[in-house]
Amino acid sequence: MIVNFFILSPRGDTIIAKTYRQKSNSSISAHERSHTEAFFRKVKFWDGVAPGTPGMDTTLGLKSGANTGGGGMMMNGEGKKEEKKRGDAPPVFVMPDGYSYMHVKRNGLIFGCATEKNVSPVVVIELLSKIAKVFKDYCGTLSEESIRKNFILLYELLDELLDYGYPQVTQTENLKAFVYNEPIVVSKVADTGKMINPKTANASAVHKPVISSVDTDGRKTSLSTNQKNEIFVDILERLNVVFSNNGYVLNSTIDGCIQMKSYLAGNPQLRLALNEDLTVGKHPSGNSAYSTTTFVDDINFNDCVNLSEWEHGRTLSFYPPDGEFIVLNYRMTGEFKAPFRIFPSIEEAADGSNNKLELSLHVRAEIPDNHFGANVVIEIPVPNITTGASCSVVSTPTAVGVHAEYVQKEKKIVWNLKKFPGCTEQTLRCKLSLGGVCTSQVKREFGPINMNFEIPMYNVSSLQVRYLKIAENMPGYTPYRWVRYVTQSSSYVCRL
Amino acid sequence: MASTYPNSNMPVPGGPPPTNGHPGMPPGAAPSSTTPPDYFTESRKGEVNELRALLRTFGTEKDRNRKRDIMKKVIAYMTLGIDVSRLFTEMMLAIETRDLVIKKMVYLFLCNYAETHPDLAQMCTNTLVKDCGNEDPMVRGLALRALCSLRLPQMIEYTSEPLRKSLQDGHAYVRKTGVMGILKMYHLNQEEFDKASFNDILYDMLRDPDSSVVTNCILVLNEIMADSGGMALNRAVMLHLLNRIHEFSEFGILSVLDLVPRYIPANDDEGFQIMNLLDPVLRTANAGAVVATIRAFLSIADAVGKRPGDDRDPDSPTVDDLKRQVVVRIKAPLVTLIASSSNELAYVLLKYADQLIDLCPGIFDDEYRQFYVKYSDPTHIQHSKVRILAKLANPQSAPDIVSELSELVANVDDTMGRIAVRSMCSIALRDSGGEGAVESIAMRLVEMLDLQGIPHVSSEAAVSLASLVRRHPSIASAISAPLPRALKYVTEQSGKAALIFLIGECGESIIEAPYVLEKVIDSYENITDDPVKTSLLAATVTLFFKRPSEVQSMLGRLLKKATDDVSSQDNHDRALFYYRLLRSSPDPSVAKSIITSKSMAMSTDHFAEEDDTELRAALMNEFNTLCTIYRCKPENFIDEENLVKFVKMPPEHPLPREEAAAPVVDPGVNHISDQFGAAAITDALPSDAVAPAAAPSGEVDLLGFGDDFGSPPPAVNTSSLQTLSLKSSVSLSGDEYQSKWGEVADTDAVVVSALPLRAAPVSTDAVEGSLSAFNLFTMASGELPTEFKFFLYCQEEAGGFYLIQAVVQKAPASLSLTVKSHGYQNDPTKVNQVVELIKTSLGE
Repeated sequence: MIVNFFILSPRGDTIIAKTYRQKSNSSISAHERSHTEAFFRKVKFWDGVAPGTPGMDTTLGLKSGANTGGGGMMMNGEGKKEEKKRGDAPPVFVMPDGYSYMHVKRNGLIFGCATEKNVSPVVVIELLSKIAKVFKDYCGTLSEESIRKNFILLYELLDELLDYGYPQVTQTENLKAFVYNEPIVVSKVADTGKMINPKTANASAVHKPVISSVDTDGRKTSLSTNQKNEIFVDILERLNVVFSNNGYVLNSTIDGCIQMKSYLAGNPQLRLALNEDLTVGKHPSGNSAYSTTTFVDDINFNDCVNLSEWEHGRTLSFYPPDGEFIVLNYRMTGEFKAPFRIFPSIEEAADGSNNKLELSLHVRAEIPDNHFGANVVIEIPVPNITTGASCSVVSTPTAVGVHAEYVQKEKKIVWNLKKFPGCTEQTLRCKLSLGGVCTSQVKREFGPINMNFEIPMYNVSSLQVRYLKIAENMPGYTPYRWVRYVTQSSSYVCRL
Repeated sequence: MASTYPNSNMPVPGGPPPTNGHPGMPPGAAPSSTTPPDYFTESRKGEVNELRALLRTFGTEKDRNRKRDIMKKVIAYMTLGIDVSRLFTEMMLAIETRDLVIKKMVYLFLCNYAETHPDLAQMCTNTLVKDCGNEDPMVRGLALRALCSLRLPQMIEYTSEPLRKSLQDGHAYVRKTGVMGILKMYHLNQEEFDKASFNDILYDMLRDPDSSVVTNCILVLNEIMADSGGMALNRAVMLHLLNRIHEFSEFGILSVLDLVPRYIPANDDEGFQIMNLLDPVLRTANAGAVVATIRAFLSIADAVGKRPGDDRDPDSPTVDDLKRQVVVRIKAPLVTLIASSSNELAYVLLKYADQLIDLCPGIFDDEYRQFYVKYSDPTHIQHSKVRILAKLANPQSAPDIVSELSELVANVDDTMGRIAVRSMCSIALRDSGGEGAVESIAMRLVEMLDLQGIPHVSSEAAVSLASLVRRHPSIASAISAPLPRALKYVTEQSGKAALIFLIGECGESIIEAPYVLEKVIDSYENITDDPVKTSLLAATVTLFFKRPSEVQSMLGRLLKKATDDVSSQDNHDRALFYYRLLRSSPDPSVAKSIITSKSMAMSTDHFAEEDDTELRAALMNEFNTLCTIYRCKPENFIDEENLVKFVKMPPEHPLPREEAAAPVVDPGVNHISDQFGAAAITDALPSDAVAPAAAPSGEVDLLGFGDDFGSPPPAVNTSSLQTLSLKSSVSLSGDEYQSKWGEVADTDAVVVSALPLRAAPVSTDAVEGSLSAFNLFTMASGELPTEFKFFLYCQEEAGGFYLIQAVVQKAPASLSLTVKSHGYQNDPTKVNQVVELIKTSLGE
């Protein structure tokens, strides 16, 4: 299926590499390495055009589409080819060596492979993601350092994960039987700051390797002896919202998931119950805001989930696999109460000069006052001819870490709020000076305003976990349950 | 020294070598075999020697962890790309160990250097072979994997025996490794492989109790038999695998699902049963399995759906209906996967969605908001989404989609802006936006023409307008006003060419058109771009017929310049063509009718030069492969040796359902049968289907179907494969009988005349009774003075009918038959069986 596998560091160094097959005539690793380097350069300095092969349209259809005009006249976009295109490298493309290279990025690392066959790209991408997941489960964290430190363990895992380029054992828990090396835990420097809520466990608690110890005979000790019985549950909702400039919601969707990481000894069966009124399928009126039942458009489940009680009772039962896993994904469209509302306005300066503009931005948090938005970043792209800007912030005293500035290099205003309390309104005023006359064309270059935030212990949809419990009654077995709700912005945009 | 690991002076793979003080050398690249400076090599040698010294202490070292650390150092160097093969001998001394961690490291070292040091590697073969017989299955498996991974052709003789033994190992881990070992051997030395005749064993092992072994068998067989499209497949194998599908791991299940599209269901019911069986897969988050299931469904729809001209039940769904139903079914799961997946997976799945939207337009329309671009999407995902959005436009959604697209036009990413313009244009070209959409899009494009700050957008808008005018000539007058102005500031050549073309087309409504073109003609020498010249020629000639008096002289000048210009053969010829056409035809209206002919005004939604119907069909056959991503046929990017053609199996289908009589063989599959009640897919892997292993050719047909599928099935199996099996109840009206009879040409009927009978039957009733015992039914019968006449029919399990006209002479007693097989090709064996049945029922 694949001919090699490699992990590249953010700088392009090969950290892990394994070759499964070689073209019969080509000789070995130095060669291989130069290909990996060429691949890395391509990904890093993506120019918009995949190397491709003859007969393949690598210009995103722009070239073929350029053959317009009358009477079969040829107008191919010669001018276009020379021009620099930028963007992100797609995860699948052909390199000049004739292989298709596929990769996934995780924590800045590139997990990649090449194939010579016409394989299913979905499967290969899933395989790479799976390898990354297994490595994370075993190392605790996924970073250049943790991979370098644990390379022997990872080669050992890789040997069982893949044989001759075909996936073999891929479940974290099944791999345990084959693995004899111990993980070397890398102390995580300052966590990503995902959680600032004292009621939850330290976020780094989740970054424990799935195997902790190997006894002197090289056999693994059972987990229960030295680990707390813990289970971490995340109900994560990512919001996609587009506002028009008058605050009207143009589009809104939620992508949610329930994610778990179990360190429960003995791997007991768990039961997870959701709202009983949860309905799967499109809401008949397309608007779930005024309805009592909870509608999700669609939902999918992890392979391990038993759905026999799903139709009646909305209850799932499963034996949690080791490591991090997603119990279910769901998606909702239709209106919901947006946690933040954005009201922008742009006016020409009062003094009548036509090269000055005033921008003001009101953002209102429509979440209860015991909640807050964390790590809020609001970015406002400004026209290219902007020469400078001064920002002033009008904020309530409860807001923490408020700072706004104009970044000349990227032509945008960045407004940070470490903590944006619920039920408050924050305002930003900017005076922009332009290097030219402000026309309606110039105004078009404003925006869209993008907002990034995270709201701990809050979810927008009405999806709820009724309970999570161990199926059998086991006296004296008291697991720690860490449940958190998190609402995140995925694409929270306001147009100007 | 040994105890320092894992402290910082331990080199780790890819990291900067510790003694490397050479600043210009990028880390990781340093050790590659390019010419490093001399001192650099020296220091390497020193380190390797140090390692060697360490390894020498290995034998006396008692501490297990220290031993491991020594090994780790060697491996670390190896993965850095430093050649530590000089330590081969020392490393091999360590192979005899009970510590699996060390053993694994030695194996890793061995496999890495065996190819370059075959002699040394051969020395440790004995140890490996011995380990293959170790009591610990882990060790057996590891040793076998190492042994097969050495990539040494001369080692085959040592390999094949342990391999063969491993296939019967009690532990699945060893068997599975052994199966993969077979594949390695196949690639190493095909001759030896053929001699060993592993194929038969592999087919046999498809019934292994452990699903991981089965998975590997399928993978290996598919690869070994790639020349014939992959593993040979028949009904028994397919149903056996499908019934066990829940046992397979998340990747293992794919090997089975990938077989389904190649399988032709025996009949419609079976096809639908397979779909029902696989339906739960669509609820999982396993994207690979979901898309494999989609492909399987589409393929089954192809097989069981009714085609035009098919004589099946008029109520049964057509192929297209079924495919639409399939796409409707998979829409929600696919969209959910796209929304919940990582960026990489989402990108790939978007390409899949794109292809499915092409296959069944309209179905994804109501999910268009899911394809809106997110701020956080990487550019390649944004591009894919915008292209899909254009295909989702219908009269309800078009206004939303068009305004969304126009927001993206000014995107910082140039390509994004272009694609957004193109997508708007393509909505208008398809005319999918409902009434007024074309005009409103045209107006938006005209606005964009004036976006001087974003030159690529104005150029792209010009190109799009040119296409629109070709498609909808009526809008020409509405967009003409800004064209001359735009010509001044559109800088891109493609945009210029489009504008010039438009000025020619809209000549009537642009007063200054001739003067605008004249300026361009006068600066003809400055035009560097061929397409601009071409469009200038076309535009001037078009305009000439619209406004002859104003254009005549400049046309003359242009033709002169263009015929003198030899930089482009195409332009030169075109100019000559115009010139001769205009000069030679006595009546200018002839030339006019040729040049301004509107035959190119189109009625379809794409231009002839963009017709990709054939490509789309080809791509649909390759759904769920890289072709979907690249949108081109596999031969464009896959080496010939790696191309696998798509072969549907088995060729004997539809075949009679001989298994109907045989109950479920494998008790382990009952739970699946439960789901379908009596209609369960019967797992009919016949236990006697395994042919004697000692067949002379070595190519024995193990599961009822040969691996050499190109040739006719081996004679041993012919009879069993083509056994007739008739339905016990058939309903057929007289009219249907007549029409079916009429549909089969008399020349296609099998006529059997005057078979002697021992005695003539007494009455028609007696004959009918005994016939029905054999599932042969009578439509009509009658007694004439000299003969009985019967119109009989029967239906095979597979669906086909046999219609028989039987005449029994009273004296001398004889039987004449005319047999028409309806629904498929004549099969002499089966017709003979029908004849035999009738004879038997007549007491013969």
